[in-house]
Amino acid sequence: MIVLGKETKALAMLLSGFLLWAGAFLLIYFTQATGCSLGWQEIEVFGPLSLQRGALIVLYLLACGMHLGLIYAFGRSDTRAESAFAHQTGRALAFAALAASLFCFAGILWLTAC
Amino acid sequence: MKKAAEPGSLTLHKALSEVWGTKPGLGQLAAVNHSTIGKRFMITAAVFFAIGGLLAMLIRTQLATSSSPFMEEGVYAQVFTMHGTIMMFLFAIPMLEGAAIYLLPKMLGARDLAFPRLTAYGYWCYLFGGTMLLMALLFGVAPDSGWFMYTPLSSSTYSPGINADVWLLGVTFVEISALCAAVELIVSILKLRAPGMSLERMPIFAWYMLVVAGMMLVGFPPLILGSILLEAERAFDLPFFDPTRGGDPLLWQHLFWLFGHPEVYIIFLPAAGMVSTFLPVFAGRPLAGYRAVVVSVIAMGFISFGLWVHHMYTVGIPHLALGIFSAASALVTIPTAIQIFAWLATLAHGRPRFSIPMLYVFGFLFVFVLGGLTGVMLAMVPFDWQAHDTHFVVAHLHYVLVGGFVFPLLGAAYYWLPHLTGRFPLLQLSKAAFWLIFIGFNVTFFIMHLTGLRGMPRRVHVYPQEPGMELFNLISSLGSFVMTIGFALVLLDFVLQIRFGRLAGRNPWKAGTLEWAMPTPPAPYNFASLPKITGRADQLDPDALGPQLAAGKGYLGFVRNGQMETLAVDAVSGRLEQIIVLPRSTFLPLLTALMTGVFFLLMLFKLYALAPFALIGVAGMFLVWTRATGARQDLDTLDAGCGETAPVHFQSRGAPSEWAMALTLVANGTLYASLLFGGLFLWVSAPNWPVAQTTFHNDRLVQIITLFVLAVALFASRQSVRTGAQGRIGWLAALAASHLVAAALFGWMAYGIVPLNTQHALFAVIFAVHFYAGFHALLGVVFALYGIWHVLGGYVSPMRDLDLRIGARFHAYAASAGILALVFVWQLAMLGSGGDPA
Repeated sequence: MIVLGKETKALAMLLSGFLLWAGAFLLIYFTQATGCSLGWQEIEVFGPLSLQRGALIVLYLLACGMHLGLIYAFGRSDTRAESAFAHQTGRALAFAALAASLFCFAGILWLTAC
Repeated sequence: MKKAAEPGSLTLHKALSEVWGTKPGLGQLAAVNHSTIGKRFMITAAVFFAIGGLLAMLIRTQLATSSSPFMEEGVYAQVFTMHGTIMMFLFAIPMLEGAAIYLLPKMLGARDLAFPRLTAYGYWCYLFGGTMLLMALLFGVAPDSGWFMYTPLSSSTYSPGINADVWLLGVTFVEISALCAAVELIVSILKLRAPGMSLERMPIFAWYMLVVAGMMLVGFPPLILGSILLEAERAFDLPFFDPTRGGDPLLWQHLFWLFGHPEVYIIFLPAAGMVSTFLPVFAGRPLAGYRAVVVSVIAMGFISFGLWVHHMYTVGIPHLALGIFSAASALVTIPTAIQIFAWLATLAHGRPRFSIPMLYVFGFLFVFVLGGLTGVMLAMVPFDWQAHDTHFVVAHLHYVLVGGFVFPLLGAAYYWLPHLTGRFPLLQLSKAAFWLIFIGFNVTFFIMHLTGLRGMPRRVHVYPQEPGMELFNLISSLGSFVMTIGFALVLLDFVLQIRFGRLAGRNPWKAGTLEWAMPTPPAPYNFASLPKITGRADQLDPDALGPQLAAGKGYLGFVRNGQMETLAVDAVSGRLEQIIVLPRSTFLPLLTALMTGVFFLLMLFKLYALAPFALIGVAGMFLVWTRATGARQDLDTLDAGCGETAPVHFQSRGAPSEWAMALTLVANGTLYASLLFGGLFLWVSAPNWPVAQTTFHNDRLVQIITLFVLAVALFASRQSVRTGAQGRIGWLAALAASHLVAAALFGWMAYGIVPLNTQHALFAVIFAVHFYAGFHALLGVVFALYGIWHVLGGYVSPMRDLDLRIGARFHAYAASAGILALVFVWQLAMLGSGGDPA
């Protein structure tokens, strides 16, 4: 119903980086809580790697991959002519969001999950 | 359309004043003008600030000695709860709303906000909700569970009176105004700008407020949901927060702090936006790093939502979750620091004039940076465990909130008061007032770090007579009285300036923003004609621009058919797009707010059977609002002045009201998502899950029929805006029928859960989800019938289908929410019964 016009595209460019961060944040927090509730930390899937940590690492990598994909998309995007400001600002925010994800979720690699 | 002949400045002024002015006497109650409403917001917020301050004095009097008999504990609980509630909900947010409502149209080169009646409705809701809370204080039944109302203390078992209900209903009533303001501000910033003002040319304050309004839009719904659920528990015994029946008090904490932490930034960012606006004026050079500041403000808006659990470090959370929230808490300092360095760089590269607003900037930086540093300390989990719920936290939050809001706000008040009043101060009271506030504040609150580290808990009315503790508290209390004298002096200074100040003239600070390109105090229409913007809107020349606009040499330099007109632009490029015809002054916002107040009072006094009638009354009044809009014939494009034409808004794609509906649905969707996540949270975390023995029956046949009906509604919502006039009526009728059937079926399913919904939170959640979906289906019926009425009344044509497009968005949302409700209930019932749905 909502047509992605020029206005919506510009807003999407500005918000996409941190929307991705917010989505990853919720998904990782929800997975961590659900996994603990279901006892995933007791299930070993790959040597000492538990299902809980494995699932969280997959999400972490997925989030970082999507951030990188977004940055790549900004590099190839043809929307610069439409709104150079939104494009450049959105690209800076995409980099900032990647840094935020790398920093915020790094604890997945070593902290006690449950 | 009849257009008046091009008049001279004075004739134009008279013609515009006639159309835009508010009538005197009782007519003032019908005011919808943004300057009037903005001033009302600010004055009312200032009154609440004084009341909150008075309560703070009572608190400090009580704590001046260790075992003071000044207040007994019950009264003290009411006083500190109301102090926090008033300062957060009735002072800080409304004050920033008022400032934004007053300033933004002027800075953006518009004559008003997008929805003036909504602004007025929001103000009345704020006033009535706030009055409700104050009346409770006078009658001794004020909330007494702390300003964040933790359960189970606030549940009916431990707070059996109406005290907690006053908070839940009163604050929700006030929050209506915050949501109205959020929608209003976002749409106005994006659409109602002067032609040529592209995104990169917006004044920096508009960027700040755009982010803040977005945060309000998604930050307030979780608290509104929490308040509704807690009130439902108290009123109807639905055990969302009762751990003995599958609920969890932590659900309240999550919902509260999902709002509560962003709230800190919702309060701070507008103040920072004001500093970013007036500091460059006094530095004599543009703000350094405009784009970096925009990036940091947007980043801050998002990251501030990822910190809410740092208020809950001590509730027992796994290390990993603590690590994530602690990292986010530390991370938010980076965008904050970027802004602070931008201000310092602006000062360093300029030739600063140290006027009174700059004195408050010094106070702001000093106090806020200290608060930020203790914030970093508290963001670290081990330290927080030591300092949690002590006066150290009280000191930190006051350093952040007073430093981050009150100091810059006072600076902004001194900066913009000449705009409001057209006058400059005569006496030099302001400097003395500043130093009294600054010294008094630091004496009061710095010492609380020490008492807090010594273990003094919050919210106690007596404390041990340990060495030093009593002396520290006495000094703190003395400091608070010094600070109060400072605030009293500020008030006196303002009164003297308004009454006796010397005339300020246009643009007294030599600023570069548009609000100074008008006579002060401003006329109700702001600009006699609207400007064409060719550069960044904080580097303009108001002294040259103002007289040209006053002479009608810009856009819309005329009055057409006695209409209130302003312009809308493409949100990105700032290209002229639409001519907005605004509604005139009306009593409807006041009457609708009164009817809304009746609903809340009926709920407060537990007259639940009558409350739905008040809601119907509110819906009916909103329908009356629509009589002032629309047309029965297509209009040609209109002359906008400056040789350009544009269509009227109700014949345009992307009209402000279309944006408003989309944004309202974002807020609504956030509330719904919070409810669904709340249900999943209880499944994951609450005790007494899964349900030992369930007698709940999912009636598959009813669910399948409901699914089919909702699918029909979803399809019909798309078709209702794609077909010709007669076809529209058919699809709208199909929509009305399908929504009605869906509402009945959801009602039937909800009724089927009674009385199980009081026995376990699983059923309470399912009941709430069904209720939500059914309520929205009912609203869908109203929207569909309204659409039919409009088509039959000749208000709709292929060019004039705005109302149907707005309705289609709601229909699609209601149908999708219903489908999601069915899937969610099916899943939760399975999970909640241990994987075996009955």
